[in-house]
Amino acid sequence: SLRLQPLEAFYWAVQLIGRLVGLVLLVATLLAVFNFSFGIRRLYIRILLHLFEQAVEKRRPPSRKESSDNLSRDNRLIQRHAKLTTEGIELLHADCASSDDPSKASTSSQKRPFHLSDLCVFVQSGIESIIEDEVTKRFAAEDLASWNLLTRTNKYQFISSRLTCYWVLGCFLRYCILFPFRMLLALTAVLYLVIGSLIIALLPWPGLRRYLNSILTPTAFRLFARAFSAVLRFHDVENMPQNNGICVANHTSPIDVVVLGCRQVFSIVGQSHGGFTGFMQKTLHRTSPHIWFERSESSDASVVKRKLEEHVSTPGLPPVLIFPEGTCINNTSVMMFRKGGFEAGGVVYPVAIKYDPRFADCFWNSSACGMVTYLFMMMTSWAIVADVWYLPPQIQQEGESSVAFANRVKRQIAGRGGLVDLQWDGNLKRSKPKSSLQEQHREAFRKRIYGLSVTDQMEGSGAG
Amino acid sequence: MGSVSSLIPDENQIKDIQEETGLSKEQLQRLNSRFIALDKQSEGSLRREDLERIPELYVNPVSQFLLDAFFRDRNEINFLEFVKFLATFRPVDEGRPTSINRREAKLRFLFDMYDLDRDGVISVDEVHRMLEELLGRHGRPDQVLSIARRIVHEAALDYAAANGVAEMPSGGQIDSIDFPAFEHAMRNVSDHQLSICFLS
Repeated sequence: SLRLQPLEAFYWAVQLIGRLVGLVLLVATLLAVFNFSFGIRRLYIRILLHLFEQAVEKRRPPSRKESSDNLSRDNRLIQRHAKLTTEGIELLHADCASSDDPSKASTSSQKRPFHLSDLCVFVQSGIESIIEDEVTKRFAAEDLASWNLLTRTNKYQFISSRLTCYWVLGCFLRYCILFPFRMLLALTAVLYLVIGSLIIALLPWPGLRRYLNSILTPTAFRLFARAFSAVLRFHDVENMPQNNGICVANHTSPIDVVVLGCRQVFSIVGQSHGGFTGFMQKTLHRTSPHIWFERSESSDASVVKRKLEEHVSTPGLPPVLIFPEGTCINNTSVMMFRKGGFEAGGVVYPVAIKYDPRFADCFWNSSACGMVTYLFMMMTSWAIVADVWYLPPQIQQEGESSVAFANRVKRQIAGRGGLVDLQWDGNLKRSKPKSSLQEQHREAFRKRIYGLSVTDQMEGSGAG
Repeated sequence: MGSVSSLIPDENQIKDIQEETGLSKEQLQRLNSRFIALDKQSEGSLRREDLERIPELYVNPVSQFLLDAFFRDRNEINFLEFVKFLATFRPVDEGRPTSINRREAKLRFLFDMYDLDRDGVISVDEVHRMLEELLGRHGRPDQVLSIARRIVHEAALDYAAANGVAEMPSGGQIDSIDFPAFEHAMRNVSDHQLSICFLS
């Protein structure tokens, strides 16, 4: 009868959509297995870029001196006179410099008695650091040259009605169309990984298990990558990390693991989490050895070191993946590398990862949001576009300390990825600097001040 | 997150602040972002701890003096006070002798950094405290104290000589200087050394 027709049609439509989605998921999985891509995501990226340029006016007029392919600028509000670094005071010469500057004497060898005005350079540096400092800004999202139509990056108070229109369309596209599909892809990836790892773990032959895992895990990660609409560009693939090596990379997000895991199997060294992350960690651990540790370093640092050494010296094990910064940074700089991975004696394979901030803000501020919220935000962004550079392998040189080795590799990574090389500890995101660091800095100044002023005055004045 | 929007001043307030501080609208916006970034608890005001969290300030040897002078009469500062303080250190505008960034205001802040007990004079003890902070364990205590005494004494004599006072009354050591003497002692310090270079 006629009344049933609409209902039947509805069911029929749902079944059809379901079958189509299932087909697409199957195709996606197959594509991931064979690492083949139709190039749809790349096309999508190009369209988006075109749209950004057309729709959104640049934040600052293009007449200012800037290169046209600047993704973002380290835009400064002030020109600094003096910076305090781990080595002491760094005097910088501003444009508005005057010729007779007594503060310059503190860096020259000229000795002069202490004067009330010797305070000035420290006060300047102090106030400048209140306005702008190298560390605090690394723990917030990168500043964009022009808005990319995501609410979360909007710093403007005023949006034109045309932009609002684009923004609404963008929201609809991202939340209502892209997100459900991406969720399905992600779920497929998880299912694939879980079921696959359970099956593989049951097989009795370690060789076969390893071989199957080398197909399973990268495939799952490629599916995950598709779930973020990831467009990844790999450079210098001939330098890819080998077995028993130690791969070190700069850390921005948990997605770093997915990005690198698309190409090969790693043994991941990381902090053990609970919840969903913990579940994924356990799943991965079924088929390949990983090194998970607790954040309370004191008990585990030596344990981790020992495990690393064992891993590096046992032949046939996949390369270890370490993020020496120890925490996520906002992808504009590389912060202090912990020396742990550089002491284990293996070959170090440095990798630089740079995300394009126009398509998503990939920085995970773990104190601001949890993993699931973060993944949700990633899946409702435009896309994840990243460049990965594999740098030539490095070994510790004769007479080079682990710290020096770590800093050398860090410099290379920063250079390749176009990131700022900083000496500060990434852990400053969570806690105040240790008072020992304060003392260390002050020693650097004090030696200089003492050397320049006190001894000289002692010669002249006698008992005071 | 809701209280954050109340930090953004409205159009009229912005105009007033621009007038008073000499900062452009864009500079104010940037400072506003900075203020919000430092205000971790989203209270709409900054406390001492918020500024101490800046690593570069934390390791600065004079940071305690700076923060003491900054938070002198209050526990927290709002955005307006924040901006006015920073604007004080803009380079001097020729022809605007009474503006917020006049030389006297900058020197006043430095004076306040030394003058810990807020009695309006810098005593030998106070110079000694500053030297101790800058020198640490280098330098024997008696050496450092004698330097502090010398600095204060010479600054006072210098000022007296410049003002035509021939001889000091007691003939003994002078143990404190007031603001005019301090200003005089700092006369060779260029405005460049006292200012922050804001980029437009």
